[in-house]
Amino acid sequence: MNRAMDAVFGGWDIGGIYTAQTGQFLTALYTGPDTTGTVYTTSRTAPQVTRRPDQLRDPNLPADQQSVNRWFDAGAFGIPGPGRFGSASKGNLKGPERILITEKLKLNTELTAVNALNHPNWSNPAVNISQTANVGVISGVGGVYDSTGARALRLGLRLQW
Amino acid sequence: MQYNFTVERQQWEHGFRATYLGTNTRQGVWGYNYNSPVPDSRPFIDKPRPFPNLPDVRYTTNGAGHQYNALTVEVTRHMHRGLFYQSSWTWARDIFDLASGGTPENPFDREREIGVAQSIPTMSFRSAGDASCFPA
Repeated sequence: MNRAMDAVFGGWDIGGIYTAQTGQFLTALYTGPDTTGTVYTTSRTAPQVTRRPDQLRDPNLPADQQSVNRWFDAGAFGIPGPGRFGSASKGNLKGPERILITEKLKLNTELTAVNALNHPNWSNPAVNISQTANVGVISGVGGVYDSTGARALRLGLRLQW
Repeated sequence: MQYNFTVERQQWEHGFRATYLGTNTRQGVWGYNYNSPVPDSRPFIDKPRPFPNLPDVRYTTNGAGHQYNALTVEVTRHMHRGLFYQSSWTWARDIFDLASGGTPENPFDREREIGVAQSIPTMSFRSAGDASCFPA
């Protein structure tokens, strides 16, 4: 590289990282009276518990039917009958996938962009079927595999001698 | 316990690596209410318990566990003039019943807790590239 080219292009470093991951395995819950009579109480009134519900059918929706307002089919779950624990297993709901692009451009200044394309990495949906107003609803971004949310830029200056 | 097996090969000016990684826990610590009545439709206060004058009695024992299996394939290339890229794809699954010290919903049925771990994605793909233009 000649001196003129070196003056313009020398010392540059550009890098990028692309990460894509499938969604987390979530567990549906309900909140209501203890249907099994196993939670300690001195009253005839059953105490409130938060547990796994009955699963009536596959709760995962096809990708073209999923939205931030209805990520899974909350109607696929029900409150267990008297004397029983719920039939739903752990991890039977598939959460939103995550895509992340990180770019770094460095000369004596360093510019780093995380989630450079500002792709929305949805948070997991609410899974408690007793909270009917927001069950299945995604109300934010980030917090699935880490706290990554909106695009973040960082500009640094480096003096080296 | 952790165990892995890796095969590496240089071919077509690329570095290839395939890795199987397994981790597991056996006889992990978990706990349950020893003083729980059996689950049925009767109210709690109508059912016999081992120690009727005591509230919950937490009993801690061994037996919980998990099994993680993962396969990662990776390709890397370093070129002259500072160009570099690396891509990897991982398929993984972690099956567990209770985390350390965990408690099952049904104190008489730990196996009911067996499920897929929330935070392990089935597939993940990662690709990184870097280009440098060094001073002459």
